[in-house]
Amino acid sequence: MATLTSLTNTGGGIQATGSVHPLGNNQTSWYRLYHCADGTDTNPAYAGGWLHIRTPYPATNEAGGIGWNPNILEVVGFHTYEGGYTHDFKAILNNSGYGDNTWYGSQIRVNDGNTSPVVYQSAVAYGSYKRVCIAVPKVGCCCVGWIWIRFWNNVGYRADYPWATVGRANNTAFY
Amino acid sequence: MASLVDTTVTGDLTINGQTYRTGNSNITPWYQLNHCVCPSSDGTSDCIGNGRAYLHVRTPLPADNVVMGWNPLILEVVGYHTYSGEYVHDFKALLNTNGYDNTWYGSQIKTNSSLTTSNPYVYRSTNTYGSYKRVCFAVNKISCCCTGALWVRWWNNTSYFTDYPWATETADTNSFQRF
Repeated sequence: MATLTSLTNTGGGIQATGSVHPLGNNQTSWYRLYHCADGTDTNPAYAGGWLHIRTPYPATNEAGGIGWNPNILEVVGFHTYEGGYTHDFKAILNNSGYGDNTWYGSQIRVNDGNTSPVVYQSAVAYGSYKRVCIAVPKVGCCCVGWIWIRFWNNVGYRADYPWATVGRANNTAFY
Repeated sequence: MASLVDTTVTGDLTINGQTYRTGNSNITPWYQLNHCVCPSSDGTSDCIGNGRAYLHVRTPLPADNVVMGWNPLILEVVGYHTYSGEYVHDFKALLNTNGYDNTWYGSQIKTNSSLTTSNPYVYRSTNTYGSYKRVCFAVNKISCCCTGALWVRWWNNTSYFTDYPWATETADTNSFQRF
């Protein structure tokens, strides 16, 4: 891996076939996921009306660096062809980190989409920590639909644990 | 052209051009435009004060399922006009929502966060440009050559960012298909 102390390209642009992580801004890159959780949606457990996403972000102040400090989760996306569901929201995470390490609810502060998303702390640990999870409405089919997610602050956790998705019939915490 | 595999810049990264994120994110760079059209193809001109009330923008993005398939994508626009920001634009539209039969399905603006007049309208060009009809949109402006910038990007289908030249025109309405 090349490590440069600084880089200025004097001519054209830069094309990244991987991801661009603007860590100096303390923002992650946008991570893109598909709404079809199991590839077919033929299993009724997956064909329900909610997509649940487990992110790599720890939902605990036990993780180094998170402490009491909130951070922002931003989500943009749509499902399905006609865009019946559009997601465009920001949530403030870890806003109860000061003492009891309880998760403080969905905390969606901005919502320009037409859905009512839910943000929750996973019930069990994945890779030592409970993780930030999201549930957004979807149509119960394996239809086209993309969702982009990024975090503001605590960018060191962007790849701390694998992402995961599952389709469910409701927004009750799954992970 | 230098080609690097994984690269970490421990200091600042300065890019005099644009950043193309063709990997997982699949989001185009922002393309910046000016509101000033001098002259417009109908002989009016923002520079002499007889311009029109709407800026029409033709993007390089094809509005045709021959190239786009059935898959929708997001068009995002942010901008303002003029010095006092009378018109501020901040919307996302979902494009190609009727890709299965290749009809254009209306403006499809799903989120509009502007608190000022903006009146965005998204449409498919009437004519073809470089073999395809193109995605166009219109937003309110003042009919003067005043300061005002507009940034446009889309989510998915990033390879079409330079498929055809951008263009701007003026018109009296947002719904009249200027291109």
